[in-house]
Amino acid sequence: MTEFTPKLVCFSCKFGWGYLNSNGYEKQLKNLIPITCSGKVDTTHIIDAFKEGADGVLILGCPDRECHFQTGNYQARKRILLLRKVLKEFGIDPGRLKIALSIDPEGTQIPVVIDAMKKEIKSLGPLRPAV
Amino acid sequence: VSTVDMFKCKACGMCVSACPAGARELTGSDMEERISEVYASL
Repeated sequence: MTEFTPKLVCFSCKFGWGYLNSNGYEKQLKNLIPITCSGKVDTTHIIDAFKEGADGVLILGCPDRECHFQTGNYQARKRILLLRKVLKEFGIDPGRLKIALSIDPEGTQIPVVIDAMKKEIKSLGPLRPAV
Repeated sequence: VSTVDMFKCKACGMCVSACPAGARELTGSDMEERISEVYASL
């Protein structure tokens, strides 16, 4: 039996995470989607990720009161809070969807945060069990 | 159109969809392309 490797989709705000890193880190990290603002992530983007086979979705946004677009991070946080409740109603563990509001100009913490979430998802198992 | 499109940028004071700097990136077309690419690989 092959070991389960979680498929994690990560949306990362360009203004808070990795904006000083010019090494093209976003290409090196699998399934990382750089975005203009965490508030740009719509619920349909998240639902589609799960539909397409993702085991988890992580959103990286700016810290409180530091959103480049004023309240995009609050909008994202509200959306995630509500969506987690909806996912729970559909039998999907809310732990599969997370938002991290912090700042990391060098982008060095991005792989660390992704790995931490992957570990959590690994303990939950695949969203759709292999047939 | 997401709600962020109506917010104003701290730097230039314009809304995201009207920002002259990197309009393509800011309107989200780059993001949508990357999303399709990533979702197709899942």
